[in-house]
Amino acid sequence: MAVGTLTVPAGTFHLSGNPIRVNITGASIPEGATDYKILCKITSVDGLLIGAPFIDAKTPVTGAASFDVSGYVDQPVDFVFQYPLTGLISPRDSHTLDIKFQPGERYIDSNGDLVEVWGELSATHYVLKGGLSFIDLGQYADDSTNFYAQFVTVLRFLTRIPTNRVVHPYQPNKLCFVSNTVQNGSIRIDAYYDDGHQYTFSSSFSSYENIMHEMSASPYLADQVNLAPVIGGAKLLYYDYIIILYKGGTPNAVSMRFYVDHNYYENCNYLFAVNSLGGLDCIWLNGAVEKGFKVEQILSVKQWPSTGARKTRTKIVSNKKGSRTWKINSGYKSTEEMSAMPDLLLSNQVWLLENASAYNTGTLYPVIIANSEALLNSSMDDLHSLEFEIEEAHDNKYF
Amino acid sequence: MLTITYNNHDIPVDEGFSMRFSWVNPACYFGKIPGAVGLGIEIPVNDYSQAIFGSPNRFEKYSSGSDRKFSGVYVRYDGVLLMTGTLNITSANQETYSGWLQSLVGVVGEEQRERKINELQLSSENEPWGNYRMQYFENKDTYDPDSDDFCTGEHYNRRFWEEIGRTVMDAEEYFDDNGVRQSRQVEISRLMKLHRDNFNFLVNKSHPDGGVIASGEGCVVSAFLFLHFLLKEVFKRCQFFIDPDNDAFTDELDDYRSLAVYNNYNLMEPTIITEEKENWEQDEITGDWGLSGYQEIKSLVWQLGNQESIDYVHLVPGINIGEFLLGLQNMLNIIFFFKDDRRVAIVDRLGILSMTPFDLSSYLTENWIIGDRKNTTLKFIVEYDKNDAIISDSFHDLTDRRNDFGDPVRYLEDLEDLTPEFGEIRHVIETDEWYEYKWDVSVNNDGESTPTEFDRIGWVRASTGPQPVLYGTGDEIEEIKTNVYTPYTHWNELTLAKLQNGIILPTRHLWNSFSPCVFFYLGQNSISNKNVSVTKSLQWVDRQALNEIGLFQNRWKSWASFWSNRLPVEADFNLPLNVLYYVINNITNKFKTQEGEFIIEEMEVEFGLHVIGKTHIKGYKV
Repeated sequence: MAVGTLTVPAGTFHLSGNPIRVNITGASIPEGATDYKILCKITSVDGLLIGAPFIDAKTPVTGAASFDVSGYVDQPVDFVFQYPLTGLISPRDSHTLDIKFQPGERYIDSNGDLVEVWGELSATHYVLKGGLSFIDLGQYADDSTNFYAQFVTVLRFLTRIPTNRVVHPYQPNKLCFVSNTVQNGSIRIDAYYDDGHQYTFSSSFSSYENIMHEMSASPYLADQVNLAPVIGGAKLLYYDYIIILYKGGTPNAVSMRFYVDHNYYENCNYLFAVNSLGGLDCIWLNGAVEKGFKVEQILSVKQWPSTGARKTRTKIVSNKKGSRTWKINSGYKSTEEMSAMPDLLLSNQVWLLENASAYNTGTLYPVIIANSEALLNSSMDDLHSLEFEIEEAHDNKYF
Repeated sequence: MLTITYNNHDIPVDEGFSMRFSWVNPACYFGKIPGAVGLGIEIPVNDYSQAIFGSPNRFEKYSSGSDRKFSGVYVRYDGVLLMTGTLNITSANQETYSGWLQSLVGVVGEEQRERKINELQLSSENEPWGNYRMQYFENKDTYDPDSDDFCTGEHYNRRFWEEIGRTVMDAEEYFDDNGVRQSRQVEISRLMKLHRDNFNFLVNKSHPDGGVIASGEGCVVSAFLFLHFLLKEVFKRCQFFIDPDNDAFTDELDDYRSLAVYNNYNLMEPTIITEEKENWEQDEITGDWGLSGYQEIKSLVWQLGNQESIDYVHLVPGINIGEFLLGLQNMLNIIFFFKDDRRVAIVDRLGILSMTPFDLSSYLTENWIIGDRKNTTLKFIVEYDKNDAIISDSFHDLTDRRNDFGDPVRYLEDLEDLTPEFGEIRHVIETDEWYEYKWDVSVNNDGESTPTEFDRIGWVRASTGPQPVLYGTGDEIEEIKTNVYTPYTHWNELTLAKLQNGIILPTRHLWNSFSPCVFFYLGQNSISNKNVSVTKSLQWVDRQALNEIGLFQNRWKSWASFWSNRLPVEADFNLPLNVLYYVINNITNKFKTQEGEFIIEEMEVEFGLHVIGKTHIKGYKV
């Protein structure tokens, strides 16, 4: 008999919404054994995976079995994030599940006894709540790549929103990334002002494998004196937010450029949304706002009482509940930014930061994006925007 | 995505494919061992499915019985195994095959339903329990439940040799109505007389040097399989295996680990010396008389087994598997929880009430729906072996007369201090007997003249114990039945006793069946219906001094208190797949939400191709 060899082809970081293949090969069926199964155990290293350990079993084909373990680890995450902004980096260990896999075999031997044997535990794998579309999955397969290679080995922020986005001067931008080793890193903000001067902010930190790094990419948070939106009449034009990780002395860097829009807008709102890569996005909505309130009620009817008078009612409200609603226009966005909007439309966890034109202000609401369809761009138009139908994620009985 | 595979082949399904799953908690069932089902399966007819199930026309016309069953079906969602078992196709038309999925438990139950546990056979065995033929009988002082398969235990069985072998005349003493000892001649079997004279009617009579006496005419030696060993082997023959991490006998029920199972088989085998004889016999049909030859037994030489070996098949009760397991569940208040990985968890049902609950608060979608609280009376019924005269001769179920029950009295003489009404029934605690105040007819017997009847009124014994235990105040009676019992001892007896015909090798087909009967093995050839420390009894009601140590008090009272007044509740949950999987595989556990703790009776979920529906849970508030 031989417990097979376990391999996980797609690296050590995974998105839980896509198949996570654990392949076990090289198992051999002992003489006289029946009901032979290859086993795969999924163990939670950090204790966050509810119900673990899980054991799956499959009948092998030529000594091999392939397990899709995504269903076991696709656990909802109560996403937490920092707002108001207080620190440049927030480690989120609850946003990754630390998992180990273990191969095994189980069979009934020739004496009729059940035999179960386990192999060695794998290295730790990390699972983020998210997933790729079938198009991306197919493309990755054709290109012989995967999420790990695209976003971890090559350091990239976990977002679909492209670089060169336009932001509010005080926008609480969020950028997230994961790291496959413990390593030293630094945050660098290169700011450029319209009077020609520039300023570079730098701060060091350590990255870890078992956390998602939530970065608050706000220059004003980093340095309220030298990175203010306006300094002596000079306006901040754009800034590059750069993360550099040093692995064995070799730097691995990723950057995002933000163009600052100093125009006055009557409305300044943001949407924080958990994206499909397990990170968090912040989208500025500076268009028109319609604010409403939706009410549902259940009525009951009762008889006219013998003591009924003018104020007496025969229809009573037995239950009433309501939610705030908004229709907010995104304001004009580039074609590239609009292309990333589906991620927001598909997000299960979204928050609206309302009336946040000043730094660290505004009211935060958990909301649901109710749009059932959206026009992202039209070749007939030069400017693009999207009207969001937003609903408060509460049924309130009281205001 | 929801997938269904048969023999490692994916079966393509429609966009609208869905399945409704139902899982039940065996802890809430006393009349059956339930299994899970998957309902509403409709598989589209296409090239792939036709290759598996056949053309729907031919399927409908020619398929029947087992042709409609497809074992080795796995249903998974995003890789997570939801259920495995046998797909039963109930109908087929041009568009769909319709059916339902029977879980592994249900499949095994159906296969083994009619089989007795002494008929079970491994694939490697040539005959039932073939691996345990010719097992050496080690005649030792003490056996270990953890390493030995069986034990011995000294007990009385006056009727063992009854109706085996020829009879002889014997003097029987009795006391007449004047209390004078009298003697009369009766016919008893010769071996029964020898059993009395040489062994005091004891089975497994202790040897002074340890072990049992295993020689002599009339000797009876029996080996009793330890219950845990028997369970292990029964499950193994159904291709299930006790989960070592979930075995109550190694944890909460450690006291009951020494339980052994009675049988009435004598391991002593005779070497028979015969002489050929002839006898005149009349033909039943023609009426003609003629000489018929036969072998007359001249002498018997008794020895232990065949070269001191035993065949375990003789030690196993001839009872249906389902009845055996259900009987144990309903006696000891345990649950056999069968899982898809072929493991059986032995769960302490009583322990569920006090375990740490699993929190499902964050998944509850709306409010709980509260049902009507039950108010039932639980009736614990033990179906004793009718062949055991100790109980069967003098026992009568008085449940229907419970409205006539008065307060129990401690001693028999206490009845004389009462001012009873006719029909009143009282329980005498010390002797565990039930007496009714009534008009009765007795027989006058002075030992000389013909017995005559006379009328009298007074307290008449209506039944010996043990009566069914009743708990609760409701009019509705819920019966919890078990056919597993413990030998009944009268109040002043320390040694277990049976009054049951025995079996020996040459006559083993006569009295083959014996109901499952269990007792504690205490070591040193000693067995009892109480454990070593006399804190636990297998009798349902057993008072020791001021303490009640019976089965009901130790194993059932807390559960009965909960169950007789249980409050049904139901609610919907949005369970993520990993939590759903955990709940399914730990459905016997206790759970909680902010509103309180509960146990699940049944849960249902509908799975679509890409969606998990709400989980509807019905249960009872703890």
